[in-house]
Amino acid sequence: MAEPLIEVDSLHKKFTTGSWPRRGTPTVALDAVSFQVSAGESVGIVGESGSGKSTLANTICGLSKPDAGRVLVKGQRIHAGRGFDRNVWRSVQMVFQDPYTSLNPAMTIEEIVTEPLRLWHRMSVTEAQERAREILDRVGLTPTVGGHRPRGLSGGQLQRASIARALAVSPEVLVLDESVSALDVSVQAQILELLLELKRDTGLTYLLISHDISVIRLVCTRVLVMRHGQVVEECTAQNLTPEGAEHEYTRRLLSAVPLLSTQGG
Amino acid sequence: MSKANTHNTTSATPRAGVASPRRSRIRALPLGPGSWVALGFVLLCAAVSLLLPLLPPTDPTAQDTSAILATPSAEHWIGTDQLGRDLFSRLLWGLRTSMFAAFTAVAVATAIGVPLGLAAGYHRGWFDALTARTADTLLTVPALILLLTVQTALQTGIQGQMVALGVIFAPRIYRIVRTETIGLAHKPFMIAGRMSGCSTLRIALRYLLPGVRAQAVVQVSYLLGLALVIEAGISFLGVGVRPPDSSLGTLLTDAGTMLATAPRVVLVPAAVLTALILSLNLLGDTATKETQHA
Repeated sequence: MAEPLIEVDSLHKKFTTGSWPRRGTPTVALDAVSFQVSAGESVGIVGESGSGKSTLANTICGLSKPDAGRVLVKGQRIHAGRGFDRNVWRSVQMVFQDPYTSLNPAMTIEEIVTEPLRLWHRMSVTEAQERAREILDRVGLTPTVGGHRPRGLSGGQLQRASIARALAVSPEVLVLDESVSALDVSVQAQILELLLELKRDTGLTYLLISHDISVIRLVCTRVLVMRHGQVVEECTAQNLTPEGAEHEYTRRLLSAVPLLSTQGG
Repeated sequence: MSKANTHNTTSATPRAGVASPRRSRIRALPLGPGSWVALGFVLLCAAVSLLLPLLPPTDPTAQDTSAILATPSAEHWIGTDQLGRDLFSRLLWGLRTSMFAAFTAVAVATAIGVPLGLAAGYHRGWFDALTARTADTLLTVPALILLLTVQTALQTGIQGQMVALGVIFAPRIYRIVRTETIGLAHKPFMIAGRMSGCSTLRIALRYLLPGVRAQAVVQVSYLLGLALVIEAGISFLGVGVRPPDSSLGTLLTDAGTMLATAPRVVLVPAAVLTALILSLNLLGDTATKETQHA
């Protein structure tokens, strides 16, 4: 196997609430998490709230600093000393959970998508605008929508715009942190369809975080199950059934899903 | 004020097309009739203050000894004062002085308060702690006492006093901007912006500033009104603008003794000052309501 795109090596992270002298007991968000993601893979991360999924995503994007362990993106360590290497964002981009707060309300959608083209790729204004329209078209947004500010657009349109912004950087990996959870079911399906199309057409690598197992199963090839900051199970998406799961927790998690399409067979 | 509101309202109703023309944005301002009058009056005062040197020459210090305390006429629109000076010219030049003074104070306050508020709210940490405590300390300084001291110790005249006033006004802008920035700093779109490649400066200008602008504008309009009051106050006390120059404050002093004999000499400048302050506060209130809707 070629060099993994992302290599996560025994990450540890604790959060402590309050400050001296009334420090709360630390919450373990990441406990010796290690895994690798190769180019073109779609890896899902499932787990209940508080299992450390988002902390993991933030750490991989350089937004959170681990207490111990390291993250390598294309062989480069992203956290170094006190800071981290901003250039990781050329390779890894993120789409957030709430589409209503993930876009700058003061800019039009087209400006938001043009920005990374201008700043990361140093394109000229006309070049960037042209490319932005192509990207918007790719995610299914018309130039009319591109001229609007986020206010007044629907959740689905905004999440498409967020994806467009992330794609404008031309990253190799897209980290989707509960990116469809805030959308209603039919819109969710459309966005997932878009993600599948992008994967087919561009070979984009996904790291998809969700508490919704059916979403993970639709998009991902491989799944990590997290609990209390640990990866308790790693399996293929096909094996993510009550029968296929090895860990007791995964089985309980799966049987807690009422609408399991493959239930009973 | 206008900028803050256009931003909020146009984005509420997306229209086809890309760049919305400025004119339609102005028309979309959700102002009641009272606010329109207030805005008009403030703009009129500002325009008169700016353009006064270009208007037909009206010497506010020329004395016409044959027309002391003259009643309004075609020559002296609102009459003359006890020294035979044309009251209308004195009013306009006084308005200009007062407006410039208030503007200086608020400009200094904004120039200090906005960047420090943005930096403190965005970075927090020791810089925030330091600036926030300094701001708290400055807020305890009584304006009048400070300005009397500045004048006594430094003999700076009104401009220097207004700069000093700007420094003690700065915490009010700083606090508003800082609070708003803290609220914005953790929104996902800030992270998205950084991931889009924005530098800290660009984040401040394109992500934070538009978000804090509305609240800052509200504060600016109140502070303009307050600065006018304070300028009038210190000029009335004789330590602000000095005769023969006029400001709205000195006009009140000069005419203080005339209240019984020729009340218009006091009432006209007092009315203009009151109307101006009321207008600024009304605009501030309107802007507050707008930002709450947004």
